[in-house]
Amino acid sequence: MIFNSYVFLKFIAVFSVLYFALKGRPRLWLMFIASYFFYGWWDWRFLSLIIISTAVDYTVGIKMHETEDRKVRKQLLWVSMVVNLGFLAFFKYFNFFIDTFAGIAEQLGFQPHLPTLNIILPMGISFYTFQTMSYTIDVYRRQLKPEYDWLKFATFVSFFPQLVAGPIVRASDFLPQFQKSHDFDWDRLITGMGRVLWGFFKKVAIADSVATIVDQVWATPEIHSASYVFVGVILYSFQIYLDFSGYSDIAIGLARIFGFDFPENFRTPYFSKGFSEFWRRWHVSLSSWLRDYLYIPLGGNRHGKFNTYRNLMLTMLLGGLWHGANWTFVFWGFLHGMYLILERFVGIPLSRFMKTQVKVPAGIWAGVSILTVYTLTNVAWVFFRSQDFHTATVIFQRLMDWKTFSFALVPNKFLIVKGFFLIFLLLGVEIANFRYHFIGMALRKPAFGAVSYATLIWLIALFGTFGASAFIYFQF
Amino acid sequence: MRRRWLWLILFLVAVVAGDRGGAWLLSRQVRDKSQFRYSRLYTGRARADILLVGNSRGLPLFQPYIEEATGRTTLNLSYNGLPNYLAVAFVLDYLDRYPAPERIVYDITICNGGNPPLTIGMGPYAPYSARVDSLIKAVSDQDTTGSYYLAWRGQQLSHLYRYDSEVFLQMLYYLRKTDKYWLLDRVIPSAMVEQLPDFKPLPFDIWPSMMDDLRKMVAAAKARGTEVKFIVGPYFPGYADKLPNLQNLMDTTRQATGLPVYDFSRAMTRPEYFADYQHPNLKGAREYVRLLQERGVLPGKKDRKSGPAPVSSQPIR
Repeated sequence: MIFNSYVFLKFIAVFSVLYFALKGRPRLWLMFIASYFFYGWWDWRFLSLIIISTAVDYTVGIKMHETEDRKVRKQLLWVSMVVNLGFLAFFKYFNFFIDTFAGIAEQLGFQPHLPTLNIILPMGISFYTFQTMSYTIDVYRRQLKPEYDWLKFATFVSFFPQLVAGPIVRASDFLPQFQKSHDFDWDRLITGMGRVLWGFFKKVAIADSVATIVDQVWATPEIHSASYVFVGVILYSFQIYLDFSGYSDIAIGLARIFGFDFPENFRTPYFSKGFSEFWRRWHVSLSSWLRDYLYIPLGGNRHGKFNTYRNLMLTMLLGGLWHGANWTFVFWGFLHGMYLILERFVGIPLSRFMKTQVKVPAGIWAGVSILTVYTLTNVAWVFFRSQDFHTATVIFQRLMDWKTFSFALVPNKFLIVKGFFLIFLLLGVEIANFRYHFIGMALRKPAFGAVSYATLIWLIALFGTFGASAFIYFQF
Repeated sequence: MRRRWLWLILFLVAVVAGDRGGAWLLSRQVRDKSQFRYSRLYTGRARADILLVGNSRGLPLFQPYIEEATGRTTLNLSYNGLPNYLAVAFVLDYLDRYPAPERIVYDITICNGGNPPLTIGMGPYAPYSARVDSLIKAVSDQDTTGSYYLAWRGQQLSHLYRYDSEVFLQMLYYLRKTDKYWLLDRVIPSAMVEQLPDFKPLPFDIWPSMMDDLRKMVAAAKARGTEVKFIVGPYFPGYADKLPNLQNLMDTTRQATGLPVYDFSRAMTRPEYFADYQHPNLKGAREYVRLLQERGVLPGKKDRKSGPAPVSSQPIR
């Protein structure tokens, strides 16, 4: 089931009524059953994976807590890792590994004839796998006590607002929230509703509208002018941001209505002045997960420059691979790894030099930095979006064809103008939000809240694309 | 508690009032004032001697060149992906509302299935045309997936949603400028030319209902003394050979309507005349008009001084 579908509207209406009518354990049962229903609506067979993951991690968590034997605890952690990563490896990466191995073998002159399987990628597997892994690792580290109530634990793993595309909510953030009463709260309803509407506006009115242009550019880049490909690349950067952050907004807003607080996942990332900052603003729940469970265990920045760079690169390569079973994702991760290394190596000293020696005004330098980060991010997005390296290469070749860089050679001008109009509107609101904090204002000035929410509904009605298209991050 | 109820009422009132008020404003300030073809058609500002009809392949029936070559006023009712049933509805609406045009030039390659999103997108014109309204309803009724039915229901619920389409953006774009010059001004990219041997176009869907619509249109035109000329516009050299049932389409149309079909599908052989495989560009449009006139599809030049005043400048109703 996806948020931008008619069936979800019906689902959430029924769920809301029942949720606030019930209390205590019956409410917990409702959350659990509704979440499984939500996921099973897509393909009920894959519920088995969630059930197994839940059962294994629930048992492992308790057993790890109850034993003091370090060896046993480690073995139990391994059991959890093997099961969770095993599912991920099989369903997401099996064919990728086979193809890669076969490719290498062919290069060496062998004809391996390896089997490939027609495997369906279970929706959201990367998200809930990382979520449950954080639980077992935290229990292993004794940073978290295990959850003995299996219903609470199963609901934590499967809670529908963030089940398929995050934010990845850590058990240490989620499980304690079951202690609260979650009674109906008007302020939560108002603020949550605002967040949900804002998410729908991002997804339905902007991301899905510009998707038409982006899909055209990437389908046949060789026949398009440099100007059209340029527009396509810029629009993709906003499509992926708004699609994903829109989903996060809806998830955070829904959870808020039902009394749960999810962590923020995006903080206007395209205003970042550096790549370290970018990764503190983009997909925060994943980047902080990778930091805490991969980068820091690898040594972080504690063992000299070389090891820091190595750890950064390894983290970003795996972060790339997390997104999908394709070398283009790995290369996307590699580019971001390089950006982070170069930032430490060149960017920070250069920034200091420009500010102190050349005396470039801070505002101008900030603008240059934001533009540089945005441009380099777009270079990486080209690989992220492309099916293969050939497509990415053609995109860059077309961008270099200056003779065709003309506004006259841009088709679909209406959709493009509409897309950019809405993007500028959104960026304007995001910038203004730094100063005025609209959600807070909606609470303090109810009339402002009512009119601004109504405006969002009008904008969605006027500019929305209602094809019930899936969110991009579902595939990850 | 009372304040909360007040808030809820204020919110719902704001949603409904803004929706209705916004839609009313758009209908008055954009739809009815736009120079876009269908806005003019439904607000009495589209009188012409020659109607030009097609999907995107009807756009190269370039009005400025045709008006220059024939000395007659034109109205191009073509639109990207325009389905046959909508095109016929527009023509019949025109015939009902205006003095009979001299001629209708109709590119039959329009007969290629339906286009539910575009049909639904014509929502802003539904209040003007019972035909458009019933077509939108028909599309929603036939929808097996339910999304077009929901779109239709959405249009009943939200009047602003009626403007949620590319058609509305066209209205906005042509708010203060004519749409007569709408045509691709580019030359087919070499990469596309190279891909032609591997390109497999889809066959035409030839449905009996399409031929019924055409028959209806021809009968209505004949009754008003308007001549109908069916054509197949030019394709990029070699492309027409790949169309599996083009000849079948022409034969079926001829049999159904009793009128000849003028075939220009292979008439233009220079690549620089095309924007892509299916669309002549601005340069090609000039040659296209010459060919149309040479074959008698378009009339010869009329001396404007000896004839009546240009009809498009005359007020209607």
